[in-house]
Order: sequence, then C-alpha cells, then structure tokens
Amino acid sequence: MRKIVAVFLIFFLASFVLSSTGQKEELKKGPVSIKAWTIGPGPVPVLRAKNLKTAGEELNADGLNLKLDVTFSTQKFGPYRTSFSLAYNSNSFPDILGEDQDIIPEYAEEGMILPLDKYVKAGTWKSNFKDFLPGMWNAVAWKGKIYGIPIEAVVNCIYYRKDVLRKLGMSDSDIAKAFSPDSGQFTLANLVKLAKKAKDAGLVEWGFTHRKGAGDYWFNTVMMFGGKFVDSVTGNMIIDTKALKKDFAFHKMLVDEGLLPKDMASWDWKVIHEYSVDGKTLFWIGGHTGQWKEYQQKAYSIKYGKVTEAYLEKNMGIAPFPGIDGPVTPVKVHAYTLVSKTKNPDLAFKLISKASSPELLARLSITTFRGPTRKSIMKLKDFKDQKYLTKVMQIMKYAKAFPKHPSLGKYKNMLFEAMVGIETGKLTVEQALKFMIAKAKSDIPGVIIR
Amino acid sequence: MKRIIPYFFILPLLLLIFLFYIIPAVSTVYISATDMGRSLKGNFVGIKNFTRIFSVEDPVIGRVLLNTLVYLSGALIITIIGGLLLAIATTTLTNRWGSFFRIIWFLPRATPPVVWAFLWIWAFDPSRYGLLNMIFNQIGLQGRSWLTLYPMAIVILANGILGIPYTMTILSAALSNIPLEILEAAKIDGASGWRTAVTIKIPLIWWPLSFLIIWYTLSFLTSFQYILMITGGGPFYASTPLALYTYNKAFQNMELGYGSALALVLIALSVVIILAFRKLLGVKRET
Repeated sequence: MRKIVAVFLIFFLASFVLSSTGQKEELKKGPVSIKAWTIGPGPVPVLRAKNLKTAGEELNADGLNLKLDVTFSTQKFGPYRTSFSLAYNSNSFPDILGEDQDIIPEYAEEGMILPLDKYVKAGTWKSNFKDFLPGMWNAVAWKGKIYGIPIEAVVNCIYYRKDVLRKLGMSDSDIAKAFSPDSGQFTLANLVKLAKKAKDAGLVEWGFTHRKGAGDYWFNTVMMFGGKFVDSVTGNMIIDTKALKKDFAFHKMLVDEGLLPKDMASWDWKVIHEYSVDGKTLFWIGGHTGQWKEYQQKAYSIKYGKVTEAYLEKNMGIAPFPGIDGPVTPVKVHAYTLVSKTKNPDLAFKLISKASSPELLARLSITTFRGPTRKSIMKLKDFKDQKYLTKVMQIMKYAKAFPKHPSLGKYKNMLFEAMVGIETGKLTVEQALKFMIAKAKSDIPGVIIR
Repeated sequence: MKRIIPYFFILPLLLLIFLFYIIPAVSTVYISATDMGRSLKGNFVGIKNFTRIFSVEDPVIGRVLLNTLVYLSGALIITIIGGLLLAIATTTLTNRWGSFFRIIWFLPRATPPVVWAFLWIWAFDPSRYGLLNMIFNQIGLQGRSWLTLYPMAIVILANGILGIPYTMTILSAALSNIPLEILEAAKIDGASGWRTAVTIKIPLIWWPLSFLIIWYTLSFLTSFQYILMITGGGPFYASTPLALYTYNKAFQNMELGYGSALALVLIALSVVIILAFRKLLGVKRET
C-alpha cells in the first residue's frame, strides 16, 4: 500500500513539476498580445474596457504574460460594427469584442464569433455558470450555443415625474400605488389618462416622449402589446400583425391626442433628455435605467445643469412597461464575445472570465446603473448600498428577453420607418402594416406573417 | 526604347486607376451577384438582386426613384439658375464690388460639410432652439416641425445653394471672356439688360453652362452626405434618393450584394441622364 501511495505521489509531483516547467517555457516566449474592442455608446460604460484592463493586470500578477490592447469606442453601433467587419477580414481583428445580444445571431451565423460552451460549461466554471441570473445565458445563445459572457443588462423602462403627479393632487402613496405593478392600477389606459390630465392642466408640454432614430424603444412597445418576433419552431422572423397594429394605433392615438410630438423621432438627444429631466414631459418612455446616472453626469437640465441623485429621487421614478399581459421590462444583455479568428482563445477566455467577476461587474453596474447579470453581484455591499439599483432589481422582476435574430437589424429599421410614417401622419395604421408586410417579405428571408 | 519610355511615365497613373477604379468597379459587379453580408463573404445568387429591384418587390424602390428625380431637378435648377444669375449680376458690377459679392457667395463652399449640415439642422430644428422657430416665436407665431413638414424642400435647398458658388465662379470667368465690343454693340442697338443676357451672354457661355449642368447632375445623383446628416432620408423615405438608399442598404442593413446592385442601377441611371442631357444641350465643343 505504501509503495502504491509513494508511486502515486512521485507521479503527481513529477506531473506538477513538468506542467510548471511547461508554463514557464510558454512565458519565456514573451508576452501574448490580446486585442479587445468595447463600445459605449457614450462615456459612461467606459468600464467595459477598464474591467478588461484590470482583469489583465490581475492575470499578469498571477504569472501570465499578457500584453493588452483595449479600445473603447464611443461610436454608434452601426459604424462600430462596420469597423469590425472590415477588421475581421484584415489582420487587425480584435480577439475580444464587446457587443449587444441582438447582433450575436448574425455574427454566429457568419462564423465571426466563437461558441463558448466548452469554457462556460466546463467543470471549473460550473459555479460561475450557475451564478448568472435566469435568462442571461439564453440572451447570448444562438441555435443552442453560447456566444458570450453577459456583463450587464440594459434595462428598458418608463421614467415618470413625481413632481407633476403631485401637482395633479396625488400623494406619494397614490403615486407609488399607480406605478406598482401589483396594485392593479398600473395600466396603459391609466398612464394615458394621467398624461391627458397633466397636459390639460398645463403642467407638461407633452405626455410622452420617446427616443429618436431606430433603436430598442420600438421593440419595447411591440413587446408591451404581446408581440412576438421569432418563431420558436422554424427560427424565422415573425411579423406579428396583431401586436403591430395595436402598437401603431397606440402611437397614432398619442399624436392625435396631442400627447406625443409628431416629429418626436427627429428631436435632438439633448432636447429629449432636457424634457425628461426638467419635467416638461410626464413619461419618458424611450430610455433605460442607466439614464439615472447620465442625468447626474451630463448637464441636460436647463434649470440645474447636472442634477443630483436627491433631485432625481424626489422628482422622478422608474417603472416597467404596462403590458397587456402584465408588466414588461425589456432587457437587453451586453456581453464579451471571442472573435473566431483569435489565435489565443484560451487566454482570451481567461481574460473575459476574470473581467466578469462579481466584483468587476458590480463596479460596472454601480457606475452605469444598468442591471446586474450575476446573482452574487447583488450580495456585494457596494451594490446593496445603491438605493437606485434596488429599484432596478424590482423592475427586473418583470424582465422579458429582448428579441434576437440575424435579421433583427433590418426589422428594426423597417419598424422605425413605419412608426415615423404613423407619427408624422404620412401613413395610416393600415398603410403602415401593409408596408411592414411588404418590406419584410422583400428584406427578410423566410419571414412569417402572422 | 523610346517607345517604351512614355508608358513608363504613365504606369503609376495606370496602376492607381487600376487599383482605385477598375478593381472597385469589377468588385461591385461581382458583389451585386452575391448575397454578401456582414462577414464580407457571399454566395452567388445570379441576377436575384436585380430582379428584386425591377420586380418592385422592394416596396420603397418606386418612391426612392421618384425622390431621386425630384431632388435632382430641384437642386439642379437652384444651382444652375442661382449661379447664372449671380454670375451675370456680379460681372455687371465694378470689379471691386463684383469680387466682394463673389467672395461672400463663395463662403458656403468654403464651409466644412459637417458645419454646413449642422447650420441647416439648427435652422430647421423642430424645437424652440431652431433658428426659424426662434424667429417665429419672437414675432408671435407658432414654431413648426420643418424637417418633418418639408424634408425634400430643405435638402434641395441645402444642396442646391451649395452648388451656386462653383457655378457662379465658372460662369463669371466665362462671362468675363465675352468680348466687350459685342456687349457694347448690343447696348448701342438699345438691347435691354435682360435681352443682352438671354440672347448674347447665355449663348456665348453655353459650353461651360452645359458642362456645369452635366457635372452637377452627376454630383447630385451620387452624393447624399448632406441629406444623411440633415434629414436622414426621412420621415418615411420622404427625402431618400437612390444614392442614400443604396448606402443604407449596403452599410446600415449590411446587404452588400443588394446595395451593389442598387449602385449599378444608379450608375446606369446616371449614364442615361447624362446621354440625354448631352443630346438635349447639344454639347459639342467648337473647334
């Protein structure tokens, strides 16, 4: 028995020494270059890049020899993606790419990013894998394979003005009840009623404002009306005529009632946020929870410039969308992905794995006020100290996954054009629907009209 | 050896033409027959992209083609008529005043494109910060959503006005070359300023005028940067000409195959319009 134990120990020791020597040999070769691209938009999420740098420093301190080149882009997603396409076909491609979940299917279909299943489902990563919130892995998966590590959740929401509602005679408890998804009062019809009241009383210029240009907002309201985007059986995109018709009619009604400006889609961003932060609109429905931070960092307010957290706390609140089948909080995941041409996938994964630690992701959430992706983040003191993030977590209870499909970008553009047509009075609801169907048939292969 | 030397001198230029004209042109033709997407790899699809255009399967193609003609006509009229009138007016003045007004009118051309676009965006901004709306508010009128109400008129004006300085400069030079004795003879015969302009000046500058018409036709057909910046082509394709639609399809939707097919249609359309203009204007340089 002693002999067996001795042989085992010698074998174990020898393999340990050999493997250490091997690692040292690898390190002697010099630093391994890892290039990463991350994107804002805007300066707030710069930590998406800084976290990678921190992770790299930690790995180097652990004995690795990485030479990191991290680029943070403040471009819009369109030019960022075009740059990536060009870089992918040249020798300047990054090893790591920070991206939103909606593009993952397109990149996956084109073979531009790597499936990460062998890493994230490995035994050593099991506890990490389980630590992610429900739905997070599904958000970055395509055709059963996982293509990214979710680092933050863009939580789309409605901002409402408490100060305006108080002027309408509502007490703080009335307001809380009106926006509590469990109260039974939180309905779209009630929001419209409140907007009309506030507008008629001259308390706001507009009842509702939304974002400009093609973006997430246009999906949010389709989701609010129970719309579906992708057929679960065939994987093809769906034109959900029932939901789209309701969505178009809703926006047309808002414009006709004078609650939404007909030229909303062409407003300047600065003016859009000024109206929200200065209370010139009752409901800002085109944003996400991160704007709570943005309003404290950028001087959007005419009256106050940058506003304080106390001001926001006193005058504004966040809520999910009052969907027809219950509250809806559309959540879009941002992830680190690995580019398929990388020569160092193992090291690149080590880096994104380290950069996705609960501590670093908590730092990201606290800075950007976007939602967390891991359960353990919520247990960290720094995270728990943020009162606002607790509210974000409350509306994340109603999280509904953002759609994903390789043709989603085309769908988004045509939906935006149709909605602008409706709001500017250039299209009726029927014409907009007809346009969506015809354009989808032309642009999206295999689209299902339902 | 003597025969080879000239070719040696033009070789660099030939190489540049090959690299930056022949290769992209051939590539565009090739890509138009594929379904190339974001990865820049494509499968051969034959003439599918063209049938998609000509069968009007794409519901906005008709609208886009009509926009192209409206935009081209409007911008061309402003550029040519505006430039011609200014050239005639400034050459009628004394040299000092003529030069002064020409410099003033040249400023739009000297303005960087982004600044020019932002000036127009600012002027027609729908909020109360827009220049026109500020003026309207000052005189007690309600502001308007200019970019939503008149998108095509605005992009025609922005592009048309930008063409005026160049047209004015070329035509001023041409007008200055008209022999003075011809103009004096007309004056002695009692010809009015208008008649002199129509029957003497314009016929004598017909060649540069025709050149400018053809030059700007090509320019307006293919350029879209100001439209992209000012209206983005909207609302609902109201100010989207074919060049912008091609760009959006190729680089916004990353449908590079379909975008290339649209680009070839744009080139074909340009050739047809240019040939029609050549015939119509009788462009033949007198020797």
